[in-house]
Amino acid sequence: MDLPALPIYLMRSFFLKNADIKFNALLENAPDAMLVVDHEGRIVMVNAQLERLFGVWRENLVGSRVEVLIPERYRHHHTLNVARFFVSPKLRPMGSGLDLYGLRSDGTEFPIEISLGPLETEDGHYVTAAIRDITEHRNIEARLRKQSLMLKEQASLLDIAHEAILVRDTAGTISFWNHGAELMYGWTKEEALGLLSHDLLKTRFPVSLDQILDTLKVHRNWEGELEHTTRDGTEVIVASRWVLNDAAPGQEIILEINNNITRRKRAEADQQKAVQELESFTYIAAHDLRAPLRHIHGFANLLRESCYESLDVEGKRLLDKILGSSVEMGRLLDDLLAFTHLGRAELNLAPVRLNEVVRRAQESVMCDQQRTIIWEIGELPEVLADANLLHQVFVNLLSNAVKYSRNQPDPRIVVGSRREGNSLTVFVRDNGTGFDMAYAPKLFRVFQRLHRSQDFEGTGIGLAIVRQVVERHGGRTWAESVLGNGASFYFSLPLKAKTNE
Amino acid sequence: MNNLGHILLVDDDDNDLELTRRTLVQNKLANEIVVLHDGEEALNYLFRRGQFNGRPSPDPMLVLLDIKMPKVDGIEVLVAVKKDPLLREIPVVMLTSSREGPDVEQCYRHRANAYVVKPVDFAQFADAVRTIGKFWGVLNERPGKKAQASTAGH
Repeated sequence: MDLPALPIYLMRSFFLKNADIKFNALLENAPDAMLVVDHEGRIVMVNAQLERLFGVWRENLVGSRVEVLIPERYRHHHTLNVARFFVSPKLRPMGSGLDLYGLRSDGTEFPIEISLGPLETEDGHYVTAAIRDITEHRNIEARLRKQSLMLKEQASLLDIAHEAILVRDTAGTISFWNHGAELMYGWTKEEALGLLSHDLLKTRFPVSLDQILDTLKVHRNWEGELEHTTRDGTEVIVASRWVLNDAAPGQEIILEINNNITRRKRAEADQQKAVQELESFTYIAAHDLRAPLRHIHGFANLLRESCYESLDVEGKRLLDKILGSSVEMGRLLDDLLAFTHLGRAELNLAPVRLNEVVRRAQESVMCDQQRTIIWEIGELPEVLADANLLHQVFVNLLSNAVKYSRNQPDPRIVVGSRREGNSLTVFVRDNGTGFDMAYAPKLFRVFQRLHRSQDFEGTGIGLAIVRQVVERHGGRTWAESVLGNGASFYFSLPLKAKTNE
Repeated sequence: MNNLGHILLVDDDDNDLELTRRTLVQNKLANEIVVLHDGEEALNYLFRRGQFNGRPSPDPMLVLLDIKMPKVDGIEVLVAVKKDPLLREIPVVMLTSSREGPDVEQCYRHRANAYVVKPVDFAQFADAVRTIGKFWGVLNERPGKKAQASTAGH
């Protein structure tokens, strides 16, 4: 620093004329760095703190212009300020609202805060300046600014969220309300803050609020469905998640995140309604169609019992046809009902030994069979399935195999399986009549038959049931055949972790 | 079979009534069959009120009840009978057209003595009616009936 030579007299005259020991001691021991400047802006006195703060001895300062203590770029502005201060001297912080910097002797800068005060002596006007290093203060400020910026960013992120997010205390007073909440409920942030959330939203709880708060205390969070009323009176159903935060003791807050599931709930209700309608249709089919059918069959039977002999051959034939058809229709109705029931029945999944299921199905199929059939049943694994439904699948497949191979002199039925990636394929193969592959896609449809019922009896529900059950297990069905050369029916079952045990 | 009591048959369907009645009569399973067409009539008959106020006849030895009937249905009649201390001993057999709906559970909960789905096949239907009539009307012993029988024996 290029400082003018120190005019000793200046300092001496100041001390001589103001030889106040008390003032000196006061200045020297002040916690802040302090200096005294004359009306020309020259330093007449500094204390030890100032020497330490600026890294310069007082001998090198006294007599210099005060601007040596600030960086070059502020000097002009500062000079003006000093002049202005002498025009209206009163205690004030300097440059309030401005960032001020001190300049150390080593050329480094640091943020400072300066308070100025007038000092009247016989000699004239002086100014005292207290200088404080605010580096640490600035750092804290910067950190706080950064934090609040981050919080603001996070809050704005919460505003992007589709969910309604609110924060409230345990009494329910809302302290945060994101944009999602504004959209979902219709009240703005300004309107909602400070209100009681359960009053505002007319919350309907699935269980009592006390119960929820108990759960919250134990598990720190709670999840459930709530019903709210929005500003315009619309009722919404939300999947609600509450998280309890009591990081600060006595300041428990609850974060509530609500997802609007009204539409999904409505769709579910509609589906429920459709299922109920189907059920009532089935009921009508079962009840109201069966009754007249029973009457047709009943009276035709009474006619047969009382007047059969008085009918001629043609009359007898027609009466028998009426009886046969009504029995057939009863069977169709029963099958249709069985099929609809299957679609609705709940799956009871458990590990099932396929060989056991096949053995039982074989028994029930063969109980009224006189013929000898060669069975080849391979080693089958255990699968995760509904045992009763799977039994139905094998009964239908095996009875089909038996039925369609009855014109074959040496009927042979093979049951086997093979693993393919994540699924198991099971097949039932016979050497019977087979079917034309052109019609393969129709095979598994309800009441679809590829043979005349005069040739092979049946309503055509069996394979539809097989498909229904297999698809409900997540698998699929298909078939292969060469007409006159037997048929193979396949179904796949997904192999889940448990099925491999 | 002379000391057989009468059977109360309640069904809104004339065809069903005729078929059931014929079978019961053909098999001589009851001295008399009282036929009523809905639940309200059945309640009046059993509780001796309305058009059956002061009915002198004894209570039926068996009630055959259709479930789906106008005005008062079969389940309501069942509930009333099984709640009444004097009538609850009478066997009540529910006859229905289908096994659909929650009817079976409901009927058992209300202490129906049996629940029979009328088969479409008449031979089976006749068989079912015969079995019901024979078991509940002839073979089955009831507290009241037994007391009567033993009194007659003395």
